[in-house]
Amino acid sequence: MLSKVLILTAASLLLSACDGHYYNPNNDKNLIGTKLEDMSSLNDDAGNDINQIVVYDQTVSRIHQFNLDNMNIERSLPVLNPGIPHNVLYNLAGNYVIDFTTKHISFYDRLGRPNHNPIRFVGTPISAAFRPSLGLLVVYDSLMSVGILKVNAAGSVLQAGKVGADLGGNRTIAAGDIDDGGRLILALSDGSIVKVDLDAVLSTGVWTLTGTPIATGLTDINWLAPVRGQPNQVMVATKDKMAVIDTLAGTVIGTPTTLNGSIVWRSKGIDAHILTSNYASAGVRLYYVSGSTVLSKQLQRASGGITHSRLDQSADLLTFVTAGSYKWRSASLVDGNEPLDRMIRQWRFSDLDAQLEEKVVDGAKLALARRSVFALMENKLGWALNYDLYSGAPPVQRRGFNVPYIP
Amino acid sequence: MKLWMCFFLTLPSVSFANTFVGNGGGAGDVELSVTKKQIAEAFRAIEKRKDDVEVEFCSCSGTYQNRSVCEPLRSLNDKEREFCGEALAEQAPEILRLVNSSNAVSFRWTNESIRVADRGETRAVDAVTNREKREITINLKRFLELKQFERVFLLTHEMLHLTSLNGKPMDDEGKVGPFDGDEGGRRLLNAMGASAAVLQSKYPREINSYQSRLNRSQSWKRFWLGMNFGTAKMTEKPKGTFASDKFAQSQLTAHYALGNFILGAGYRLQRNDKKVLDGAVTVEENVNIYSVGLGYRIFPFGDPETFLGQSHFVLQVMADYVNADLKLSQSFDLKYSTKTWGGSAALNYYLPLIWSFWGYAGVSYEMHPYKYDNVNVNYEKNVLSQYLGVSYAF
Repeated sequence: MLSKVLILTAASLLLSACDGHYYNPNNDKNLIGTKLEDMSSLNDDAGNDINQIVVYDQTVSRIHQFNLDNMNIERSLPVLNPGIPHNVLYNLAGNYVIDFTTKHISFYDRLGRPNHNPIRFVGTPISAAFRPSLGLLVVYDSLMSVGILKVNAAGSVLQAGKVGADLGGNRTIAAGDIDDGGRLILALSDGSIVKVDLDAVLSTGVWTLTGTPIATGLTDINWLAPVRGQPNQVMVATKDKMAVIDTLAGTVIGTPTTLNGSIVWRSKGIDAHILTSNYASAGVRLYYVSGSTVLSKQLQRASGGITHSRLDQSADLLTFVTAGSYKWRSASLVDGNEPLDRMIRQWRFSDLDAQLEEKVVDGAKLALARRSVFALMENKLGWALNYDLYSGAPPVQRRGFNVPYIP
Repeated sequence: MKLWMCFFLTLPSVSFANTFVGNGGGAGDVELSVTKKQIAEAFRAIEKRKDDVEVEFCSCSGTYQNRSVCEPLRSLNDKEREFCGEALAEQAPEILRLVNSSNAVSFRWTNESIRVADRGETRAVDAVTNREKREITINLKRFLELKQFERVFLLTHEMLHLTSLNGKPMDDEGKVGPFDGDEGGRRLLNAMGASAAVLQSKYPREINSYQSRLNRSQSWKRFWLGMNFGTAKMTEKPKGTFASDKFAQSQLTAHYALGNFILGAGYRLQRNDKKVLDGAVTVEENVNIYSVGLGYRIFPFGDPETFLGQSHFVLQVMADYVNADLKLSQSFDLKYSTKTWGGSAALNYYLPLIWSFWGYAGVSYEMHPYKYDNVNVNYEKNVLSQYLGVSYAF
């Protein structure tokens, strides 16, 4: 009896430990695009750094846009449904902002003019494939509906529609993204990969596919990512395999790679990558695609729970932000850890020669660029910092930016 | 702050030959009144015992045995002592008449030193009597410095100058009865004055000490310093997360009384701190208010010898200079500052304590709307404050 109580107690502790806001690799599977956050990315959809970032601050229910050159707030936008969580996307070229919240999406153009609810969701948008350079936005909500929007360079919605997750033939959407060729690629529940004719979907309101479904031979694909610079390739992953798909030829390139251990981290920035740990060997194994092939590197002396990662093969940089000093393979699986003792480490990716190891503020949301980090502190008054990682200078800070907006 | 202090320190010390400070009495009035009462009570006690051969008035005993006031009595021989006692008994009705009648003798205060001619020389005295005008002029400063029995001595001496003994006015000069020599009269008057002064210790039930009246703070004082503590509350709750509707107030005040008119100055600090935004942010606001203005004292009760008679209202109208600071804190501090001008009206009620200390309660209505830039704190409404304080007058 006592042993049952202990087991139940241990199980409940583990469950509660996995219920926090910290990284849980299971949160990033079965999505279209990338999980939506309340802070936009510091790179455009081509992977280049940008100098503007937008954040949603729930204290004032506004979206602030920072210019990282001087840390000034370029503008601050009131949202339609204040008081609840919002997520944001931003496009520098068009200087427009997209705001997501429960049942709701709004576009704010460069002048801050809103376009509320070009499509209406029943659920909460949880992820999006956003290719502003291609004028495409595909949104996936908590009830599995898919919103498809065509957006011009200024952020005006040209066409919009919403479809369900069932593509017929006992197939539902398992994961998806927009590839570098501008096509929506979906992994379906039967292990096949399909290409979606977005124009046709928008005009007819039903799923319209182009080409023949690609039989991957994989079961239970839960992750699909574009391969940067390869308009006809995507990478897919199951819980234990990873493969590169040629969407033009309709084939799996080579043989799917069997992952060494369990997935502890997935990321689509900038070049998609996966980290695994097998609990037997030291460190973690990094999987990525290069030259149409799934490659991997074993990182033996890694430590700390991963909170952010960034692989930029064109810049030859691999960046991790970690919290704590425990080993990756265990720490990254324990959710809800306090983001303490945070470190940013950067390697030259080609030979894993370490370039940088610096402390980063605890208790902040971070956005990574190649050589800088933007940190939004958990502070009701508003507190943001921008680290130039290689200057050695203290971070440029902006304090109290919320104050003028607190009623 | 420094400005108004300088202002007060440089105010002229106004010379006055006579005092009238509203209904609350003037400087020395209470002491004079108490002295007259004690003289009256002393002579009533003398009159009551004039036929008692056992009683010897012109002798010193008890409390005053070794005091200088007894000197005129110690030097008396038996004849002089006997004569002195008889003179006291004989003069008692006249002294009682002088004391009890409102117009039998007038008293005049002076701040100038009093000098009298005495055998070809002049000498300073504390009081002088003009028999023709039936007026006693008293050096106010000296009178206030004297101990109470010394006042009785002085005033009895001077009032006896207004009486006659055996058909002759009682003077300082010349022989009187067994009191020989050029200053026989003075020796007799001093002995009689000393007798009246020391009788209080002999007959404390008949001659009151009036200690509480003498110790009670008196409103005629010119300079007043005070401090009070209370609360200041906005008349309408201001909007804004960081705005406060209630402040703790502490205040320093000073005023200069010119009769019932007052020149006033003050500094008050209104302070509040609170937690907002789920307790994450601490708000601290300090409002520093510097005031100058005018006031008027109102004495609702007549008799300055009573507690209520000394109590009074002070109605003040002030110009306020407001310097307010706001600090928001969560991991770091954000500071905001603003300045403005305004005005306030206050009504205070002063109650006398002892040794020139006063207790008072007051309310103030303040009009100085202000707001801070770059933060949503806008005080458009007025402030009502109430407080309790103590004041010292000198």
